[in-house]
Amino acid sequence: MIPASTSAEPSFARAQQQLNAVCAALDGVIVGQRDLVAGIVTAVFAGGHVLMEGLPGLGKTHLAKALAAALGLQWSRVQCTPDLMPADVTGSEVYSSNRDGTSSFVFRPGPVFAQLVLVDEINRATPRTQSALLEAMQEMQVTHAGTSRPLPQPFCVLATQNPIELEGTYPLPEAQLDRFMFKLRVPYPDSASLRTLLDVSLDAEPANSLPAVLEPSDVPAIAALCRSVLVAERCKQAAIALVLATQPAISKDDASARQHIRYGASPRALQSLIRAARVRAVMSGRSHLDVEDLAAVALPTLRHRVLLRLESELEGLDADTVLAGLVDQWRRES
Amino acid sequence: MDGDRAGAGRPLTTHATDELLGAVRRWLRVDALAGASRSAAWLTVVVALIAVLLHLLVRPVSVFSVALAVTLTWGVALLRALVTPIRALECAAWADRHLAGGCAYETFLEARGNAGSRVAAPARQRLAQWIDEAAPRSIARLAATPHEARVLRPVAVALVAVLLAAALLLMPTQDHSIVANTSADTSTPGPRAQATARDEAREQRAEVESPDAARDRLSATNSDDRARRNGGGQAASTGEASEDAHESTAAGDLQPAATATRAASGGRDAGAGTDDATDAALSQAWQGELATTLRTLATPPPASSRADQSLAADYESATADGTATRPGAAFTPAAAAPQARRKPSLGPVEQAYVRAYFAAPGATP
Repeated sequence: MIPASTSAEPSFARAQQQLNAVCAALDGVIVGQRDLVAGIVTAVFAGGHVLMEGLPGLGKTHLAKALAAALGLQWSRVQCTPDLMPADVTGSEVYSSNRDGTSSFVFRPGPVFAQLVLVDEINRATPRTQSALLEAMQEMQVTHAGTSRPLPQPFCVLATQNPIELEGTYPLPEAQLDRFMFKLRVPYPDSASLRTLLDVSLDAEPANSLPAVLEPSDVPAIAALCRSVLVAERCKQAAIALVLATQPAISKDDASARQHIRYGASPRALQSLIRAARVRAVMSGRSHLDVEDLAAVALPTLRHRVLLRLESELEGLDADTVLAGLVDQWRRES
Repeated sequence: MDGDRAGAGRPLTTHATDELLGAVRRWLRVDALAGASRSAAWLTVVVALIAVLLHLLVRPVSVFSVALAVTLTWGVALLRALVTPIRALECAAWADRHLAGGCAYETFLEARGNAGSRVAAPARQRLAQWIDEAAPRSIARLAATPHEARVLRPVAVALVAVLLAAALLLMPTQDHSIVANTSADTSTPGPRAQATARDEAREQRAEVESPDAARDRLSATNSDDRARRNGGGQAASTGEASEDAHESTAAGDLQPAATATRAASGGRDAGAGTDDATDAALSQAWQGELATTLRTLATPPPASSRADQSLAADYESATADGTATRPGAAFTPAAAAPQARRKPSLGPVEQAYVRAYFAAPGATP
């Protein structure tokens, strides 16, 4: 564990050191998923939630466990099924007897009352359950029987969904997808990573034995430090231009990439873009934002907030391809 | 040692930043001057080309005026490049883009400008520290950055163009002023003056020749002119030859309506012919001059004397009264003005036909 600073004053250099240490620890557990690890760490310290999309067996659950262990956070897991009820996620009141012989209803918190919540296969839950979960993600609190109970801080939801088995699933509506700061794709590891994976996790579960890299109090301190990163006017304008570039109704020119977009990114995407880029700046040891930080987080921030035209989807285009063209053009102009 | 704490308490200004921004400002100033020189050089080429074309085609151009234009071009371009202010924020933005600043210099200037706002002190101190480390690298990179504006080639081309133009302007050539004056004179007075000049020349020739020969020559010449200008309409107005006049009169007797129309369109004041659109006054002047000349020539002896306007006036008045009894006067009265449109008069046969037509049952007016 990295020794705590002797002063209560946050330090950018030390924050950079800690963040890089977390990423290095996770890289040792989740082999060959460096971009995925960096994205999740970024989202956690930016105060966002992550939707991971990938095939089964790629280590998504391991990653959540390892992240919780490295950050020293309390974590829980929700396996979504069609019969999962909202109370199974948020909690419910149970009738219990007290020691003095009286009985009363007592609220028993659900798995959402954790700092790091892994929601596995979220698209298998019914829309009602999804709504209960997504309300907790947005409001950071759970209201039950007229009583609001705040969720622990930091609070981060790592949701996964399977991109191929769509039968019997309830795809998340676009309005609820917007609640996730990042949508990260879990790629299939290459052969070298698979070879390393055998050495690391064949006979052991490295996520269970991963030591904590940070103290629990370090996470909110680093998150607050990230929020103090200076943003120049040029970077703000660049972020606005990037978000507006995804809006086919607002954009002036008729770029080839934009003509495939039916609905563009929301203003919430703009906020997520800046917050995530700030964490990237701290990870680079800077206290100021750069346009390259925005470019680094543009794709995971925007890919689930952009809807393509049906004709473009039939042509085989996906959001990543269209957004990559947009981001390239935006970087040339910025 | 913690880098942030090492920079704590340091004011948000660094010598390296000011040095870098100053160097960038100088670089941008030189670049602006180079760009202005490039633009001025190409403008010089254009000025030289225009001067040569003016000199060859329109009027002579002095070398001094060309030199003045070139000097003005260069002066305005360079003065504008020198006077245009280069702000510190522009320098910072340029340094961020071209010297791997990563928006640090712009952020630094903005943070320094907003020193009283809620800007976190650790972030500012870390920024100042980052700039202290990055500025020397940026300055070294700036020193190795060449200016993009290529000046030598445009200046060389401009120099050659100016030298060639000066040589051409100073070269002794034929007197362009004559051509220029001639062209200017022929262009300004208009066709009326040309016609007047031609008529005067004919008059002078007629004075030195015998009256008969001059009359024949003028008659032929006027016939050509008449045919060239407006066909038969001129004949009715000038009254130059008896044959023409008779033909016109005969045609008017046979076809009254057509004659009226022809007289109106053949007259220069009709305004319907293509020729009339050029100069309405031409026909009037031509009429007056030719009529005067022809009347003078048609006057009986003494042949050596000059034709007199009063004689012509007497002749016209006499002709109008129907008392023209001069021997040898074969001219019909000249129509000094084109005939106005008159109501066509029908002959007895035509009138009887019209009356019979309207008297018939079922006739429509």
